[in-house]
Amino acid sequence: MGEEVGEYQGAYKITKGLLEKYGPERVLDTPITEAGFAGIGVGAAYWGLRPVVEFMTFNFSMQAIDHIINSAAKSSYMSAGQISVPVVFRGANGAAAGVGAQHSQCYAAWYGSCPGLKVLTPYSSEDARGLLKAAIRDPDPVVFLENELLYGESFPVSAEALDSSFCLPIGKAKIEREGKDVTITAFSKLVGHALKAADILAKEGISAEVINLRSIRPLDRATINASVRKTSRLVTVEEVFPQHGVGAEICASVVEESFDYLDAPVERIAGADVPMPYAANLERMAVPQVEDIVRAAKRTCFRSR
Amino acid sequence: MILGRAFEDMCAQMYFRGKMFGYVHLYNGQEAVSTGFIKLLKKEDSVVSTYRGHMHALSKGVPARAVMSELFGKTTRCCRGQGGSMHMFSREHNLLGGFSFIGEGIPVATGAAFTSKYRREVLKEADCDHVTLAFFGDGTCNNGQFFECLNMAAIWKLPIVFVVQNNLWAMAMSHLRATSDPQIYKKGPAFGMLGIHVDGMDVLKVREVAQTAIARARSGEGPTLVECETYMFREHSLTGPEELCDPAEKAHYAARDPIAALKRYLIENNPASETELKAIDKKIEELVEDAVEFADESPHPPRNQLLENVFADPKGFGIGPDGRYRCEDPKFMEGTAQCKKRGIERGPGGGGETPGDPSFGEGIISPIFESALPLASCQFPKKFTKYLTSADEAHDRDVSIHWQPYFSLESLLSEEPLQSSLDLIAGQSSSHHAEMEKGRQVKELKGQGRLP
Repeated sequence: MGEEVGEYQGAYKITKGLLEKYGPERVLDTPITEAGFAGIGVGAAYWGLRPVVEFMTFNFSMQAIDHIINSAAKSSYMSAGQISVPVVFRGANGAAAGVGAQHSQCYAAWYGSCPGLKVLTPYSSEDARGLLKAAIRDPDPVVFLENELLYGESFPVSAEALDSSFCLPIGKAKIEREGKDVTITAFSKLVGHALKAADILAKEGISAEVINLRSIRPLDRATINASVRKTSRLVTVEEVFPQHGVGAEICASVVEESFDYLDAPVERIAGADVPMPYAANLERMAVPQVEDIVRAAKRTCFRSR
Repeated sequence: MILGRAFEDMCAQMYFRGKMFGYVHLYNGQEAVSTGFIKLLKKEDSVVSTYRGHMHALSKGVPARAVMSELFGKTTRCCRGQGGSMHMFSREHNLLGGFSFIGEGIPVATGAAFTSKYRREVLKEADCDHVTLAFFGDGTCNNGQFFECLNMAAIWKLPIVFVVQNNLWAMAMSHLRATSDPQIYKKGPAFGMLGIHVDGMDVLKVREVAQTAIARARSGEGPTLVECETYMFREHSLTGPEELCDPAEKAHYAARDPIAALKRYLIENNPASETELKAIDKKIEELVEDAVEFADESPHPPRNQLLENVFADPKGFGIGPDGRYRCEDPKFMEGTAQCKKRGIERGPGGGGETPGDPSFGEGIISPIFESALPLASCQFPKKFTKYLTSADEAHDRDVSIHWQPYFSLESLLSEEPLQSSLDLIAGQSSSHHAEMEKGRQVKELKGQGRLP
């Protein structure tokens, strides 16, 4: 259920054809009441239905954040396991193109800090397919952060992914590209940037390992730390505000667990610490670009030489 | 009502002796509302309450011992001490919580009512006529979520009763200062539902109104908004200072104490005598003392309870019967590209480098298409039949299945016992239904020439 998911075929046409196939009793066009319908989704999940609640963008989820955190995430704990909430909140997250400050925030860090929620950030089609299936089947509340600019992008997928039972595990990151000189972690759209940066770095003789986090909560600390122990250098990449972000958490985790293996300080690439500007050139400066990632990786590599 | 009053008074005593802590909100004076409504419900009906929820729990049938030990923070029953005064949950009694944010419980109650209707109309459980009651106060009636839910409950005709406990004060904010039109029941008709005002200090009047409202909900006529004019004899919470209300106002309502009024009524009209009522008083006193003793003697939660129950499924996806991740199980990946048929080529994007490469958007929609189970015997209303394909219509006549297994091509061709990957997850093995479904899939694939 969500705004425009039925007759309009989805605000970004993601739910095209669903209403035709399953009818108006299962695909609900709601009024503009985020708090209301997020709460209705949670109430239905208490009773064993498996609602998928769509927010047109996660910026609108702030009107419903009370339900995501207080009624969904905390209920299993408060009721000592009597009530589980198998709801999925999904929608577009992060910066799009030219949509201004109130439509461009990334919520990975905010939701990722709350125990009781699972937070997923797919990058490719295979990620999206596998993780969403896992999310729907999962008995806990899941926040599924997609990215508007990725909706139209195509990715090759393995034959396995086309299987109708294909699921990906929640809580495991994927090593998109193996390397031995520097680890670059990223999630959602920026995995693409990180891969391009890795190509550029390869031409300069630096072999970068790119990790697609996939799951912000639970965070796959084991994979990240194993990779850092192999390469000894880390660059974390994320799209939005640096303070208290995902990169900060990864840096803390690595310092706690793999301090002796680090050969250079951790580099944290994030968006500018400002609300997203509207002008195209300013927007470009406020979001990490491929060159920023390349520069940061080089800094980590040359520091100890 | 007497249990509620005695229990709450005992809570106050225990609080000041240091056995309870944090926020405790007592229900003295409003017993008629809780009793009048909840005692008419069946066990399967749900109640959603606020932080002032001890009495709703007791009325719904949660034992006094369980509530008291929850308040003491002990590990026995109710929420094992993890919820506290403001967060009472009971799966068994369908008490869906105590919510501390005002207005937070209303959408959750609306969701529970939605599920009841969904189960009856979409999942075809014909005997599911469960009603949900949402209790909240006058201050909540100015909150956005209240209006959002009145609207949605009315458009979808949900089996819910919105019960407003109007005690004229929201902490220290008078209802008359905070609300433009203080007559809350009038907000019902503005959204197209019935709005009733009742004297909340008279349990028999409340019960009469409750009967109408609950019957309306059960029969599918839709939601009702009931405003109960009531009063709190104690302050907002045990931690707060005394409020700003006028002593004359307090005296006025104290004279209309619901328990005293009902006692007078029973004695005057002879259904009960004074001795019988005194016996009830004594019995309740003993019950509450027993609850306190039980709570006192219950153990504190052990240290290992701190990290429990954060997730229903802590390992992320699920542990199979052999103790390993299900997704590591090679049999889990069994199967052929059935999704091509089901619609992975539909959706937005298109324009990829290689035709047939699914886009990110398609990656999102395809699991929803697949995970949403086609429910065989859905009878859509006539005007929506154009949404049904002929395959669905044919299936409608056959059988009602709630869970449709997915089969690999090999298993469809083989004579071996059926086990689909979904059975592994769901732990279900409804072999009769599985057989019927296998038959249907074989027939369909033969028709498409994919099976000999």
